[in-house]
Amino acid sequence: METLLEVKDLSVSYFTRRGEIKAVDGVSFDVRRGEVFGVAGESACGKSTIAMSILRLIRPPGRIKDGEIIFDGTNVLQMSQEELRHFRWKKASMVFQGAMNSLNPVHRIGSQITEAILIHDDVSRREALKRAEELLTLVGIERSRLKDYPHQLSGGMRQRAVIAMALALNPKLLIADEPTTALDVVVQRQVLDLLMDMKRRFDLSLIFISHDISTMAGLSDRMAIMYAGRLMELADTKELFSSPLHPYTRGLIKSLTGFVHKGERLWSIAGSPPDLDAEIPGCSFEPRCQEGLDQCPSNRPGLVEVEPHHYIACNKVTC
Amino acid sequence: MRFGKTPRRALLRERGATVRQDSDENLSSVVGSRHRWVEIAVAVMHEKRAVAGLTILLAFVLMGSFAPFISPYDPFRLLGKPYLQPSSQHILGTDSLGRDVFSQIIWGARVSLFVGGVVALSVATIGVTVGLLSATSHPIVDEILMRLCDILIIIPKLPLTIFVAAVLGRGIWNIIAVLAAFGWPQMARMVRSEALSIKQRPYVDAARMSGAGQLRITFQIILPNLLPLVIANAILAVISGVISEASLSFLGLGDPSQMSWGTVIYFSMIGGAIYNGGWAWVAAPGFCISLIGLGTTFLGSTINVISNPRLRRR
Amino acid sequence: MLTAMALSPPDALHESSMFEAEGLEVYFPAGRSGLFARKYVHAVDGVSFLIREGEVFGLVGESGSGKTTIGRVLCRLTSPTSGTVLFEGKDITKLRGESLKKYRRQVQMIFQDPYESLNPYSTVLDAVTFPMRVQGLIENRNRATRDCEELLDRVGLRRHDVMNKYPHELSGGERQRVSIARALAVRPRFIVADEPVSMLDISIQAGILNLMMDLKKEYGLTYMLITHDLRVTQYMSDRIAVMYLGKLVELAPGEELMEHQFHPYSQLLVSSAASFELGGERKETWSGKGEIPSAIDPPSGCRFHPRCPFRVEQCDREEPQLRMIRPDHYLSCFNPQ
Repeated sequence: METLLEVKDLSVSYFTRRGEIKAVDGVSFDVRRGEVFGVAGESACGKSTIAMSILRLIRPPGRIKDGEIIFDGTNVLQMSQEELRHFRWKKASMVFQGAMNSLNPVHRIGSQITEAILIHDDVSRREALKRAEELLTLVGIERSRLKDYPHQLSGGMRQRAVIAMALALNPKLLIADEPTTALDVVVQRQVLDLLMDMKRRFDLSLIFISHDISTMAGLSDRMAIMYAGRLMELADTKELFSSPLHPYTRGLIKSLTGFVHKGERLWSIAGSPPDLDAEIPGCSFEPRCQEGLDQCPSNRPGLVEVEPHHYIACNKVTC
Repeated sequence: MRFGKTPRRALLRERGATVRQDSDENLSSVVGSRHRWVEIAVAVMHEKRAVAGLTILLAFVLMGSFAPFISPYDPFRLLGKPYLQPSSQHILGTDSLGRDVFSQIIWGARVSLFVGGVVALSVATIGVTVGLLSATSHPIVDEILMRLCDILIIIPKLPLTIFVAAVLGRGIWNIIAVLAAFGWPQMARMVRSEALSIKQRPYVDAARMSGAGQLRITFQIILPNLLPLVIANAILAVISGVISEASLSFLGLGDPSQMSWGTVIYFSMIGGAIYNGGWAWVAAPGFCISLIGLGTTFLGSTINVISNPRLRRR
Repeated sequence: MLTAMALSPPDALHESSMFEAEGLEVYFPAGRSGLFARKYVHAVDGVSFLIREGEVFGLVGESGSGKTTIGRVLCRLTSPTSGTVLFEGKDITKLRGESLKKYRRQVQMIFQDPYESLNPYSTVLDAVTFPMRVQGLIENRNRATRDCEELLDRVGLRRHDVMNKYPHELSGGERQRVSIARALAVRPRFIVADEPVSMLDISIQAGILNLMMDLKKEYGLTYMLITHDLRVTQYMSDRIAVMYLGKLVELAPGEELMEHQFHPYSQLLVSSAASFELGGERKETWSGKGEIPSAIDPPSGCRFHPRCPFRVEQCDREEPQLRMIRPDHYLSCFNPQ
């Protein structure tokens, strides 16, 4: 399988009055063509920041401090404005968190999609409109809805419209950030089915970001578990669930209701994530880890491939 | 003001709370916990604009308060030659009757800010009362009060003020009364809409679940949540009062026994200042009013933005 | 319309039924069509059920199903347009004044949004002791503080200075624990939990759910668990009631319902959720098309018929009634699967 995206040692920080907040701290992973890559973690663990970095959307006070993002051989972080224009939305696009609530309320859906196409591609307005119609039909919205305003569509439909917008220019990579949060369960299923359908149809690579590890599990080929801006474990989904090696991953899985019988206690990880502006010389999960070794507070574990295609950052496992 | 996408803890830290990691179950302990008003105040003080605004206002308030002590002359006293240019004797020159303009400005601060302040206070009090009443009473009461607001807003104020001035005389308290009487509907409407929105929030439901009655809910829960908005708008009402008073005085409806900035402008117009080289006489009061406007806007709008639910989110 | 009495199995003890809801209808005004005809949102349209003491009664459905409204009716936050709700034999919809206040000691609510369910101007101590103060349960300040401390400890907030904190200084999970402590402050017998964990990260949900189960045992509570997340309800509920567009479509013991659902909508819900699990076999042979229709102008006959792949002749003409098809298993459908 070919590699489409390579993220190497990415570090992104927000520079605020009180100091540097390390939202992403030395994260590396790659995404292959045609795969669904899941990024899971609690809120504020850095997953959205990674997504924004891939499209170079980080704004002050945030800054990409270090690392490389290689998309199809080219380093995104070194692209010129012109190259970026050809990259964004055409090669890689994104469905943002809460996008369905960020549609412009005073423009019709059809024209919003048309505008998105026209901004990034040099086609005539008529062609763009035609493409918008096709896209809406593709995502399961009737043609007649082209003229509707966002508030006339339900949550699920708006999310589908947003997905249509993201796919307008046939990107190779689609990043979906919490695409199903705030949707009803049946609609969630529909949106996820749609994403998978689109992936197949367009031969996309899909990066799926969520705090809901169990939802992702059904979709993702491989998954990365993030904690406090760092990558903890990365493996094939089946492998990750059948033999999770990192204490954090194991804790997460044990806290899922679907894996526990009624009456049994759910496992809950005590404590809360650390401040991201403090220097954490050792493992960031250490304060909450039940299995820590002596060196864990001071020795930050690197990402090591302990089994074929199974990476983990844990002192206990790698030492 | 920039609200970048910073994680919750960063925001907490920015606002002065020290967040420490705790190994106890699900806990982060915050040293030096602060009441929300203090939090808001601290956040506001971090914004340069707000500090600038507050400084301006304080400066003028002090100026007005200590007028008897810092004013070089009596503003009404005829001191010498009219239309003198600014000099070391008369910092802003003299007016058409030979009175010191600088002293007029200093005393003017006292009167103008007094009017602005009293009007703002009255508008806030009446507005909050009516707004709360409207939001928490029977729909019919609400309807009546809101129609009353509408009527007051529609009535042309100027002709009415002239009428009141003609009937009751031109005292400063009459002016204050008229301005307050026309100023409260706007505040009431805003309070009502905010109160209605607060009523929908789950913590009000929670209070009802505790068995709290309407009165307790209104005063112990809704009112505190309203206050930042009311304070911000009351501050903005000050400048409104100052300008309104200045406008009335400019039209000759002011109180001639009180030297407000509006009165100064009035006299400068009547005395033909522009034709006689009295540029300081014309510019000074207007400049002061503008500064007050700047100060109140900086401070008031900052408080408004910061106390918004936007910042309540994680 | 079947009465609540007829719904219960013959050998059920009425004495152990805490709540009996009968023909509940809640309509909200929604503007007018034309000059005179009023339109209504049919949030709850003829619902009857029983809740037994000591059980966890799960109410599931998507938005617009009416589940939150039912919870609010039980809490007397919303008044039904018609119908009755008996709490230990007394109709609570008629309560006023003192008796209503007394009722509020028995029934409490945990809200969905941890960020909006605490007054930003109250400390944790204020928030938790507020119900105690209103109900006159406080003798003196020290006692109240100690009680509060105990409650906070019991919900897992153990540090001394938590009491003086304001909500904006706590995380989502912590705030939800404070809400739970507040709900327990008056020692209620029944708690309506309206989406108690849906706004929390999955990793935090477990802690809250564990807590709720522990507290249920310790304080002898009865819960109504309102949620759209089937995974949560399956884990916690003894019985599950499925709602669609204001109607109760199926009601059965939790395990039984998760094993097999008779109503097509229940099947759709369960299969949508099940497929989230790793390697979950998607038992359903059809996937849901379409969206939930408007509650102002609901479909005729069975509310679900426009989306139902199993509909028959009757479905768009008549409304199915809730009937018992097995012991303690009720269904409202003309063509069960």
